[in-house]
Amino acid sequence: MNIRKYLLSGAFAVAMFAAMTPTAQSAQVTGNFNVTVALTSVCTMAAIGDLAFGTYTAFQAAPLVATPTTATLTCTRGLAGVTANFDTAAPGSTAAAAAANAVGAGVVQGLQYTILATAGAPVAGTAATAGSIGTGDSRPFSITGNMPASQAGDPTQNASPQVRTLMVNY
Amino acid sequence: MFQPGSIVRCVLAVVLGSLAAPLGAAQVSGQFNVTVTLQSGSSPTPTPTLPQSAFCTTSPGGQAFGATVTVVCSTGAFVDIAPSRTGQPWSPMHGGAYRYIFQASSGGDVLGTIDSYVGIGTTTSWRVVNAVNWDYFEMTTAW
Repeated sequence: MNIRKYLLSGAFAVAMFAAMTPTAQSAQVTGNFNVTVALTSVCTMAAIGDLAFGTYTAFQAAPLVATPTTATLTCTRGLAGVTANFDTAAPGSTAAAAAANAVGAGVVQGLQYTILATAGAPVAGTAATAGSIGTGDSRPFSITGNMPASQAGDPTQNASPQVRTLMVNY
Repeated sequence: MFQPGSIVRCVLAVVLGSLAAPLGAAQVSGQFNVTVTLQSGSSPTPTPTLPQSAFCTTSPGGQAFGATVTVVCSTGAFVDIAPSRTGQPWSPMHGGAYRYIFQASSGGDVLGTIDSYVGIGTTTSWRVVNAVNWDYFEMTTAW
């Protein structure tokens, strides 16, 4: 009988001790580290449609305006100092130095033309968050063309279609 | 410790370096076609040649009631064979349709931007005569 009493008292004492005393020295230590990355800004350009002048009647009295086309770029957000220029690879073609808007000229079917790529207002992308990667800025360039009036033309000089290139620098 | 001249040289080197190699300089390019169709006399796809008129003739001797009239049209479309006035005899030649290439112009100058369209159409014309002093004007309508 006494042994049982002692056992109960002992068990009670252990339980009380365990409840009153914290377990094994709980504590915390921290260390800082840096997240680093070198971002290389990039722009990608979607396919550009034809700059179509349509039909030019030799010696026509009015200039011929091409149906505009658009070059759409998707760029790293917040890029500044973007410039553009045309190529000079096509026979007889010229291009101004890179600037905010690209200016060029050329000859197709013996017909002189001028081209202009005008930078549109960038459409800001969405910022990345912990739950989203975000999107890039959209930068449109509207390409227009003009063919002066009263041209004779030459079906043997610079066939149509003629490939031109728009280059965007950033 | 540092000589003033060496500091100036370092600053100058940094400035020149930044000018020579801008950070992140890159380029993207895209190609596009410039297209035009030149319409000229030697064009490989010239505008189709169309008949300038479509006069029709009727056979003589068709004035009697019940007579058979033969209408021969050299080219183009045949419009009708009604006489110009009731009771009048058949004309030996009856004007019909004209097929033509129409280009809007005023005084020889092509009008605005619609000049780029050269299409196929039909035209008719008529003359209004003032019987008092025989003044008249002519009008041509094309569509």
